[in-house]
Formats: sequence, structure tokens, C-alpha cells
Amino acid sequence: MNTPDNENGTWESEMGDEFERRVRNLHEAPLDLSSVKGTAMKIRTRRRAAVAGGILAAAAVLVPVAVIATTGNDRADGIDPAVPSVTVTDPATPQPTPAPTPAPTPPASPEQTGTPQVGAPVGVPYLERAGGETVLHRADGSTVTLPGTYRDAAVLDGPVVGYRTDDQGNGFVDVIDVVDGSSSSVSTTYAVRSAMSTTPDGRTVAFVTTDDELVVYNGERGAQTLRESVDPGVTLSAIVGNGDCVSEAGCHPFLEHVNFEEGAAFEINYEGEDSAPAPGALRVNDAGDDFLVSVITSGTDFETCGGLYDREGGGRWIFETCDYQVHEIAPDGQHTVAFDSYFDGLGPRSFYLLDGDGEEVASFTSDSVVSGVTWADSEHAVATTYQDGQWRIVSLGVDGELKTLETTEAGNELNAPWFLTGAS
Amino acid sequence: MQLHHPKPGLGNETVAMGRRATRTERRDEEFTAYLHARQPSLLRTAYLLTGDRHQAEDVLQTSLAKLYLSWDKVRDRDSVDAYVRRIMVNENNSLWRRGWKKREYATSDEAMPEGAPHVDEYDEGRGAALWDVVRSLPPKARAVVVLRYYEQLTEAETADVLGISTGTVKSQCSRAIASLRERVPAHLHPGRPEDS
Repeated sequence: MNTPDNENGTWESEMGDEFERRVRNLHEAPLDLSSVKGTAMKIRTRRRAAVAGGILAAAAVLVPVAVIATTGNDRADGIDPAVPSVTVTDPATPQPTPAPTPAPTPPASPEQTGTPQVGAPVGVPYLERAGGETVLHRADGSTVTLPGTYRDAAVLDGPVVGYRTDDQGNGFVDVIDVVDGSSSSVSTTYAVRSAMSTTPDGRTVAFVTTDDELVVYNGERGAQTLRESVDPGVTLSAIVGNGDCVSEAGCHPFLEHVNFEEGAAFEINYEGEDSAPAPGALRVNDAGDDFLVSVITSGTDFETCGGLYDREGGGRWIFETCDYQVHEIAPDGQHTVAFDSYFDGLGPRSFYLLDGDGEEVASFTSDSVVSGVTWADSEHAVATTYQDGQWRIVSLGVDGELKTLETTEAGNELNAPWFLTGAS
Repeated sequence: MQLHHPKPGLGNETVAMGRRATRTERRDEEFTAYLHARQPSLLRTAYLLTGDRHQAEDVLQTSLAKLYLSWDKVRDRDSVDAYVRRIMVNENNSLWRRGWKKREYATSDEAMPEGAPHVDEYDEGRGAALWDVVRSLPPKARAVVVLRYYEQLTEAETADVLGISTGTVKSQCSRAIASLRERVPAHLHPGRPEDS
């Protein structure tokens, strides 16, 4: 008798066999070094044209750009497009102040594998892998050990909520009670099929369960089901609101189609029909409580277009651009984090800080990859980057000032030892 | 890894000239060796990702070019294949942006027929039906099944290459199997009484 597991295994075996049959006679090597180098030179030329200043550096380079001399700012509007992006603030410090400037720390010695040099607080919460557990570094520098290997976490009013996967590859969101400020235990677990998103105020998270339910979890109100059946081809991008899904201020999740060709991004309203977050938006990269959203509207050969949109009232574009992918919105809405319009390989090598006109005020370029960026406060963005064989946490200010906050020899170019919570 | 003998003119000059190779020459020699050793395998993976021979060559060429640009920075040589696979997946996922234009290729009796596999006389059409379903999967889902069932990567290795969670790997595989179950005609399902 064919049990479900047996049947799945049979289909898996059939797929493997069919793939082998399809390529059995394909033994060619059509490319030589000359053709590969020719294509490489064209790519390099395109990349140089896309980077501000037109220079790709082999080492970390700060390219300060003069702040645009306009006052009375018009309201203005990080990294792996696969990662939902929401600005996170630690509710213990709703208006975080910049961390004290630490002196650059020396690389960790080989005997301290997995342990970065601890300096002054990074200024944003981040996760550090430590064997089978995860250390959550709060924005104030204190730590709590979480019972599992988490990829994202949010410090709500009371509990910590973390996203992880188990050895079988199942995704889970855990509600974690913190005991005595430093140790923790899981009180509730949800099986999920999406990573979680966190509201800008850091008090609410949202996720899609394996039963296709869109669940919102707030520190005060607990769990609420906002939608009972989310299409399997749809995933969660971002969420704003105060977590009270029955009130007007409530819960406003933004969702997108995994395959952009199947449809545009949409916003679930607490009552009424779904609406578009911005004209033509395919994905919401970030959403602020002040009605701002950063979105992608199209992708063309070697570029991505989008911008910053104000949804208040009739709605209007703050700026549109095909020069950058606009992501994290600063807490005061005056600046945004952006990446190159097109990037590939391991991910973006650079990130930029844009002003209210979508103009660059500061930038950072690594020789490998920038794996996550988030705002520490309205003036400073924090990023994890691989540079010269080390992972680093760096801070970039809108004034162009660059600081290294942490370094470690742990991990490798493909696997970061740190995760900034809620980062792009 | 078996290294093919380099073609004349690609790296042999350093030996013939009797001087110490420059950094560029050493890089080119290493890269050429990798090209000869791994290109056929990478082309096969690219074909399975794209489902189209010509797209596969384009994806492969762009991916190898990007690898060449990063060659000095991929410090762990054991990670090169994983690095290239990730680039190829990203390139394939980006093809939708280009409004892929079908090129006109001169038809030729010598040209490899598009998608012509070795057909087992006992196949009874199951292979073709399965392949049609796989080709219709979204690029990201197709990448997952190719890496799992052709490259034989574990769920964790697949997740690492693609930069996604193992949960997503597992769910994508489950959905692919569900698609096969729904869309492959019942009489072609494996495990039918005729197959035992």
C-alpha cells in the first residue's frame, strides 16, 4: 500500500530520475576563458556606471556626499530582497539614542570562534549564533539567551518573539518568556510558512501559519487571526499598526505574490477590501507608521524601479527612482536606506542613505557583501558586512561618518554569524 | 575533481616563458581549470533550472562571468560550486525582468533538439508529463527541486545555497510534489499496480 510518505518518496525519486534523463547527453563546455572574461568586463562596466562616484573599491570605502542644503525638509521617504524589511525599535527605548562611539575592535582570536569582541552597545537588537542557542543582544547592550537557533526576533512588551527552523526544516514562531532578565523559556509555538514581520513600534509581529492563517501577535493583546486563508502563492512583506486588529489604527499587513507575474502587492485593511499600498507596487520593502511605504514597482534588464510613497489622503510619491532599491525608512521618515538598483551574487555590496528627494547623502561599499541594514535611530544606519575575511557590524551616519562597532572571525562569506532583527 | 588538460594558449604561456606568473595569470589559470572541470556539470544544472538550452547557456555565461569577477574573493575553494549555484539561481530568477526574447536560431539537423532527453522505451509519457509540470513551476520553486533531487543536496545545503530557510525548502518540495500529483494524469502516476 502506498502511504503518503512512500508516495512522496516515489515522486522525489521520479523527479531525480527524470532530471538525470534530461541531461544525460549534455556534456558540453561551450564557454572558454575569453568569452567569460568578455562578459565579465561588460558587467563590470555596468556596475561602475551604477555606483555613485563610478568607482568600485576593493576595500570598504565611505563616499560622503554633501548633504543637500535644503531646510524645512520635505518628508522623505538594506538587503536581501528575500528578507521582509521592517524597522524595529526596542520598546524599552522607543526613541533610541546613538550608541557611544566605540574604538574599532581587533579581530577575535581563533580561540574565540563564534565570540565577537564585545564593545559598546551596537544600538540595535541583533542575534548571535552560539552553538544550539542564540544570544539576543538588546539595544542597550544587555543579553538574553534564547533556547534555539533563531533567525529573527522582536522584543515585545513582555515576551520576546523569535523565528526559527528545526532540524526537519519546519518553520516556527516562538513566544518566549524572559526569566530574570537573562534566561528564557518558550511558552507558545506556532508552525509557520513565512518569516515574521515586525511593526515599526516593535510591539507587534505578524506571520502566516502552515494552516494559511495570517496571525498578528501583540505583547498586550496576544494572538489575533487577521485572515483565515492566505493563498499559498502569497507571502507577508511588512506590517504597520498598533496590533489592535479591531480598531482603525489596528493591523495593516502588506502581502506580495511570491511570483510577481501572478499579481501586485496588496494591503489588508481591518475592514473593507484589500488595497494597493502604492500605484503599481509589486513588493513593500518597508512601511512606517506615518503612512510611508518603500516599494518595488518594476524590474527591467539590470535595474529595479520603485520609490517612497506617502499613503495618507489621496496618496503621492515622495520620490521615484530606478537608480536604487529603496528599503528601510528612518524612524522620522526623513531618510531611507537603499541598495543598488541591480545586484546579484551573494547580495548587495553597497548600501546608501537617501534624503527626502531620493538623493544620496552617504554610502558604504564592501569588497564582498552587505547582509543586513537597519536604522539605529533617525541619523544612523547599522549594517552587517563581510570584509577582508571578517564579519563586521558598522554604523553609517547621514553625515557620512562611518564606525566599526563589532568584528568577528566566525562564520564565512556565505554564512553570517549575526542577524540584525527586522533588517533588510 | 578531475582536471582537463588546459587548451593551448590558456595558461601554458607562463610555463613556456620560464618566468614567475603574474597574479592575473595565476587567477586565469586557476579559473580555466575550474571552467574545464565544472562547466559541463554547471551547464546541466543551468538547463534544469531554465528548461531551455539557450537560456541555460546565457545564465551559465553570466554566472561564470560574475564568478570570475569575484574569484579572488571566494576564499574557500570548496564553496565555489555553492557560490556559482546561487548566482545561477539568482540569474534565472531575474530572467522575468528581461521579458525574455526568443532568439532565432538556424535550425539544423546537427543542433541539439530542444529538451530531447534519452527516452526510455518504458517511459510511457510519465517523464514528459513530469518535466512539463516542473518547467511550469515558479523559478524559485524549480531551483529548490533541482538542487534537492538532481544535485542531491540536503535540505540544509539547499537552504544555504539559496539563502532561504530549510522550512521554505521543505514547503516548496511539498508543493512541487502536490503539483505533480494533481497535474500528471492518474494513469501515469508512479506506484500504480502496473508498475509493481
